[in-house]
Amino acid sequence: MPQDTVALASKLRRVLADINAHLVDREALTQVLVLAAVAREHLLVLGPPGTAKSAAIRAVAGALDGTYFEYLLGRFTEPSELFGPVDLRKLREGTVETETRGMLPEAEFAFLDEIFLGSTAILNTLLALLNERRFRRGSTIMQCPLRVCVAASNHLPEDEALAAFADRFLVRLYVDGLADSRIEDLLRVGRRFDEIPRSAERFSLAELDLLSQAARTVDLSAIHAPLGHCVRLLRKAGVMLSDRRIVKTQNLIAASTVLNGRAVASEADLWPLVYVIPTAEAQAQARDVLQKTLVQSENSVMAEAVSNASAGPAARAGRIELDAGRLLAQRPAALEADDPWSLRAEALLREIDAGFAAGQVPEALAGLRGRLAEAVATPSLPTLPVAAEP
Amino acid sequence: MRLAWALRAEPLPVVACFASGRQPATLDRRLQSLGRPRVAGLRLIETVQGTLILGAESALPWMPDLIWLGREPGAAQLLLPTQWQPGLPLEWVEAACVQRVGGACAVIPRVAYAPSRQADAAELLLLATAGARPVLEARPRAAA
Repeated sequence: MPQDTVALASKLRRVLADINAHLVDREALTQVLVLAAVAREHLLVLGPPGTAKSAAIRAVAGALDGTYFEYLLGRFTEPSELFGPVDLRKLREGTVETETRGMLPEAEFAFLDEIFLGSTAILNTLLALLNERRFRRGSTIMQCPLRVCVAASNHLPEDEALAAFADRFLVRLYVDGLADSRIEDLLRVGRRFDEIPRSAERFSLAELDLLSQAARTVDLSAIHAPLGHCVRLLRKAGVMLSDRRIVKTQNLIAASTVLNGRAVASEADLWPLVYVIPTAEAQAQARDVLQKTLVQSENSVMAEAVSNASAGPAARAGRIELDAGRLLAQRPAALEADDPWSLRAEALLREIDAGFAAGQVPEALAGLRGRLAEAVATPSLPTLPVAAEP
Repeated sequence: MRLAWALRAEPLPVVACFASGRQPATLDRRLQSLGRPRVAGLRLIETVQGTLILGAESALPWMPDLIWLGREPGAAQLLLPTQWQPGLPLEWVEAACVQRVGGACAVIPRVAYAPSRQADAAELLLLATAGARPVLEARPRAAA
């Protein structure tokens, strides 16, 4: 793997960390979005309203130097609102052409909120744009520079035609509300979700393209057998994937390999398979079915995304290390037993101790555990006498 | 027959913790230091072998070397170490433990202890979980 690609993966990790400092528990979303962008696949984000989906997507788009197009679709949205108005000058000359400047056909990153509310005319035009990256309307036929399209919706459509359209989004990410332990964090940063500052370090389109090119040359031969095994395990459990989805999963695996700093894919890169599974229930089932197969999953750039897909110890350790590092960086000067910082530190310590047997804690995590334990050690405890050993 | 234990691929969600040896006294102090709302949902069982605290994961106090316990969907009457699983079918283990204790119980094998504490631990400790008392009742607070 060329050194510049490794450096780019490191840069991407810093950019993501910068973005996530302004969000709460949206690491997996931002990381999966970047994975999709490197793989040149499209992402469908599903979850209840008000869960910072849009804020997270905008924050990533803001850090990537590219032409960005965003639109909230409604039942009455006209195709021209997305693709551009009819060129009146050309119309007078007798041809129907679309003025695409500043519109979706010229965007490098696109975010389409409430995608399934789009009309048949919009979705049909989008199909070709997403699949072939070609825009065709009237006499206008153009190749589109689209790298990744992110769509969002509160739920998957039940209508068969819409479901077929949804299938064009290879990557599926389900977003939930925050855990109880993060509510104070949400209150701390949530009011500024609409004004997340642009990342100090930016990732250019050329840099993203370099990673995409590297992904296209990844040697995937070593994962054909284990990926085939995973697909068979899923089928046995009743989780069916279309042939197209199985084949395209390799694009995500290749992207994960590149972001892991390698040119040859290994079993550590199989985890994106979980995000290709269409429904939330089937994804949960897949995590169970593939638990042992995905145990080696690892990616230092997208630890939370890996951890969501695989509960393997390496993935869990990577995610907890990131959380612990972030928390230690925010440590307040004075601590009390039930303050929000201490509650989060205790939650991480519980997760480490309940999740790793003594002597099995990876070295880096053991070091962070020691620092957290020291911080929540309780000098302010009442000094009752300690009972003798029974 | 000795029951073998193996590490789980994925830990169980935490629903209880167990303190043994000298730890219960420290755990007592830890509980005293926590706010009343957090302690309100916790229940405890005290035995000569140690103290078992049951409650929501986010309310359970952290201390070094506690044994963390969770519940398997297939064995609702057992609390098992979050990191370890028995080497026999779960329904057999559940049936045997429930029969021995006379009801739901926590199952704590020696392997779940920190290495420094394993020498003093029983091969397998079974603690009945019926009759757990609210912590606030068992440990009335001066401020309460």
